[in-house]
Amino acid sequence: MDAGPADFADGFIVLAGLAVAMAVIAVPWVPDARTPARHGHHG
Amino acid sequence: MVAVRWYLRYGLSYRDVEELLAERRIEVDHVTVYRWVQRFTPLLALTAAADLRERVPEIAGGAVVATLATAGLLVVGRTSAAPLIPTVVLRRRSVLAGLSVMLAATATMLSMFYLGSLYLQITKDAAPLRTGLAFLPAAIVILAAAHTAAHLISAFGTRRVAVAAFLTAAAGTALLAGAVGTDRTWWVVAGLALTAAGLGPAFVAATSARCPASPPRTPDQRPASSTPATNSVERWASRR
Repeated sequence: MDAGPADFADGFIVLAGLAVAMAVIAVPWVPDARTPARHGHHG
Repeated sequence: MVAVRWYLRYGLSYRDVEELLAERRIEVDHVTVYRWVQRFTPLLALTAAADLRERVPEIAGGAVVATLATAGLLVVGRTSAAPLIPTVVLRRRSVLAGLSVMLAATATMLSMFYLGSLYLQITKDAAPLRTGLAFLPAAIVILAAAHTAAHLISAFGTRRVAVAAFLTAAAGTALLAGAVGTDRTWWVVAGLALTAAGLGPAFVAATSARCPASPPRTPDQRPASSTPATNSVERWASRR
């Protein structure tokens, strides 16, 4: 079956759900480190 | 069968379907369309279910292969004298967090490109060049946002930037979901750009999340958890 607009909308809603879930998970999970903005050389 | 599918999928009336068929020089009364829908809907439902069932082995097979490949990588990493990724690194929370953020951001970005370009080409009949142009603002925004993110992280910390990044990406994909199926093609372009505005910083947050726990770097020794791709994003983002 060909994909219709509703299928694409479903796909984007799943992506929005994934992003929201990741934002929620990031709160306890991602370290709250502050890295200095580096200037000049880089390896 | 096509007429029944139009009726079911696009929420048309029996008279709409009659009109669509008439445009294609097929003379069918709307009552006949009604009879077809009554008769063939169960059949279509069965076919759709069968289609999905046919794909289950394909999807499950992919997941099994990916799991085995990951397990293989871990086994080689534990036994090899010079592993590509020392497995002990994967036990660090900051590294795992960075990898999770990277995985989610990559999954969202690739799916956005895939769904967005298919939508524009299939549903909107956009030519490949036009489709590419619709992604141009997103490409510029993702680079600019990644660049800004390096400074935001130094001011607000990785966690806040990661949360804000994913919420922005969620807003972008929600905008895309709302624009799909309407005439608001510009909203699609804006949705792609907004999602990109979230994903750029998410990638930078992913690489910066594992930085505190990583050993100091020398020019010829990179942290084992990074890949050439993440390094280049990080390098780009930290360039000034």
